[in-house]
Amino acid sequence: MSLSNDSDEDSSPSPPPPSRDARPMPTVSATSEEQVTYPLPTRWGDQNRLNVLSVSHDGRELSHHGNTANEKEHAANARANHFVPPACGIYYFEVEIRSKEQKRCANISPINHFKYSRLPGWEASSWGYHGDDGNAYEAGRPGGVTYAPTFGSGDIIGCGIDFTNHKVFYTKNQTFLGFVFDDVGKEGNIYPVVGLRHSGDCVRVNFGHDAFAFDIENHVQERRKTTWDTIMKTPLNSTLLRRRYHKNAIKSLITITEPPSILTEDESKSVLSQLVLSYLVHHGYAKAARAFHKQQNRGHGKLPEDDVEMDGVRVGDDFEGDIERRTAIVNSIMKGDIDTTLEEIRRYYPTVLEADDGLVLFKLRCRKLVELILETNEIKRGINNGKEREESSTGVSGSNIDRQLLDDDGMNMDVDDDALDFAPSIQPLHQSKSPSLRSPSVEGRSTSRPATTAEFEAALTAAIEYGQNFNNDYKLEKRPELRQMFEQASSVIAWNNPFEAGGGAADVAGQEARVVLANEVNEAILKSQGQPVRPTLEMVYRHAATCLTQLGLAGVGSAVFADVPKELLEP
Amino acid sequence: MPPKVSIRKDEWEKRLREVKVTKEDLNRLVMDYLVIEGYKSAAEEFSQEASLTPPVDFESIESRMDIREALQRGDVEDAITRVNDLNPEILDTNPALYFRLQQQKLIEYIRHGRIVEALEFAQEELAPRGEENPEFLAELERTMALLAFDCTSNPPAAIADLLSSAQRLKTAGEVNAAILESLSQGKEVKLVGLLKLLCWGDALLEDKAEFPKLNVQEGRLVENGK
Repeated sequence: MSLSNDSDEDSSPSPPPPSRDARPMPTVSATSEEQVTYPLPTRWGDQNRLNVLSVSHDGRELSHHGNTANEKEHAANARANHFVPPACGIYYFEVEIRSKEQKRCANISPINHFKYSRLPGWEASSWGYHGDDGNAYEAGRPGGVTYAPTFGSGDIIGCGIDFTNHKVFYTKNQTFLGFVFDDVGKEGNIYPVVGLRHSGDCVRVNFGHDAFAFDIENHVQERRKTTWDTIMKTPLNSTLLRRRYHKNAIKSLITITEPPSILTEDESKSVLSQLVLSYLVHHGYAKAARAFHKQQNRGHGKLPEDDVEMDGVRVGDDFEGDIERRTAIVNSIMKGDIDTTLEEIRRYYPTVLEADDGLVLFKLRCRKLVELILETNEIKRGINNGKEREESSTGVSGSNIDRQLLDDDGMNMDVDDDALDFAPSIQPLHQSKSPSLRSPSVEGRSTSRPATTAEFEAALTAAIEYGQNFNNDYKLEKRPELRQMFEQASSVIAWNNPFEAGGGAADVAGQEARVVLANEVNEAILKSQGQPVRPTLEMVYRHAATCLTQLGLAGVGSAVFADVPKELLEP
Repeated sequence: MPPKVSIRKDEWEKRLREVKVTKEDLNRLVMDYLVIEGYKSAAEEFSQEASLTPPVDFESIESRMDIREALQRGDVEDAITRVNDLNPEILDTNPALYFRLQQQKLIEYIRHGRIVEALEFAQEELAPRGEENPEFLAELERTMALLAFDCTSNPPAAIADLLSSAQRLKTAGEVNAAILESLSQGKEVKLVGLLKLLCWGDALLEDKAEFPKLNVQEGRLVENGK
């Protein structure tokens, strides 16, 4: 949304307002999202008024100075420089009446169709509270309706436009006068307007430049609470149950939209527990999921007949098996045992390997190559260490040798236990008990005796052969990112100890690479089962929050008063 | 009315990604549910697996559930003892709740035809409270009216609800809420609030825009007509 009248300001005959007054003052704005910002009213528009009205230097004071008899009783309006964005929820401004005489007429109003010479409330799409009779005027209601006391010089009149209920409220000298008018701001842009009628009338506006006389913050807090209470009165309905758009809907020409029906207590409970259970399963909180599932069946006193397949949510008795299998696969990757990984995936989730044109399989084979190279490196270091030990054994005390034997993997001993927590595995005693994050240990090879050169050569041949076969299998592969992955994996061979090499080789070889791959495989498995990559619960939150943001943009003011993070996330 | 905005699935997905929410946030929402709904062992396991500080001590979840069950099966005396074991201040500082429990006890006497005990209990325990508070008195009178009807006959609807299981549930609900409050734990399950928010926002936005809907059963977005 942009305001074409904005350009008026550039040709303004009066000097620009001081900058401190020109900045928008979102005192009352309740926008929860920062990405969209609208200018707020800051001063009376220089072009949007009749000549009998003059604007002060700072743009806030407005005086009527009609001279001729004709002009002296001439209704004249001034409009603010910007319209009020509905996304602010409630917009509020105050006007101080500074007329020379009491009981002179001033009109404070929101307006969208603007005529300079008609008082607010006399024209279509304008609304006004008139000081001379205290009546509230709106289009189509000549004479207005009795609303509140009259006002005049010395009074501070506040005007609030509430986009949550599309009503207007006024305040007089800190007193709330009540809501009035309907459907305000549902269409068109709303501007603050003041109308003066007599020569000598003068008002000064506060668009948030100064503290307001009325405690608007408190008022906003109350509206927030009201809004949230309204939302919390919304019954859970079948939006949460039905699949609204069936895949075969195209067959029927007429779409019948039933109004959503209210869920029964049992249905609501079932929706909730499904959300929670699938969340626990998704993230692999196996024990919590098991306990929850168990207590639920006990509590409801029924057999889990509906938990094998419930409207597509696959959270059945088998979920424990599924978590276990996924955990096993993840752990095998974390240990570098890619053969087991592939075997398990082939057995339980065969489609995963084909996903994305075999991307997962390709990545796992890359990792296998890396693991083979790492094994080669380790044997080589074993040989070197054996030599070192022979050389140093004469001068070193027994206990030192023991410790060296226990600890020495030729690896960084700056250990991080977290890696191990995720991949509990039985480590051979001679290996470091906690493999460091950057240097994964390789299992399945005995190093209890000094490695031989023959073993090293055999391992090296195996790695090279694997690489060649791998390369052969994919020689028709065109995707550059796959070629790059393969090259990165192969390049690890160039380093004696890739973890110390730093840069790319360490990234490809290290434990983090295993973690990343393990997560990718877990997500690919979930995806292959038709499970979303994000848990449904998370989708519900994101979807609801996005609806609110969108509602705010669409001008539904109440949406911006729903303070979701505060109500739902704050502990 | 301005024309409906149409938001395509990829655009909507982009906005979904921009929403700020962390796994910890969601874990807390789940924990809140497990605690309030009384899933003690699940809450315990979850706090370990997700390294989440439990908002209340787990024993209190169990005693809360025991109290609820006691009230649901009509054992008011047991419920009162357990509430006092948990925290004597709950009933001391909440006369209306204590009256509600006493009233429930009277109802249970009447239900089981223990008329002499019912009368004695009403005179000794409830009448003095009724004198203090007109609301209590009205409730006491309503309850005593049950005595005029044989248990086998159907009492008029105005008082029949006192004998229903809904009345027990209501009392249990009030006690549950008071205990949660004493633990500075919210009374409403936040996840329910989230679902309400979804129903509310979804319906309102439908008037303003075409946008992908969330299939809550499957956790995926569905575009209109697809």
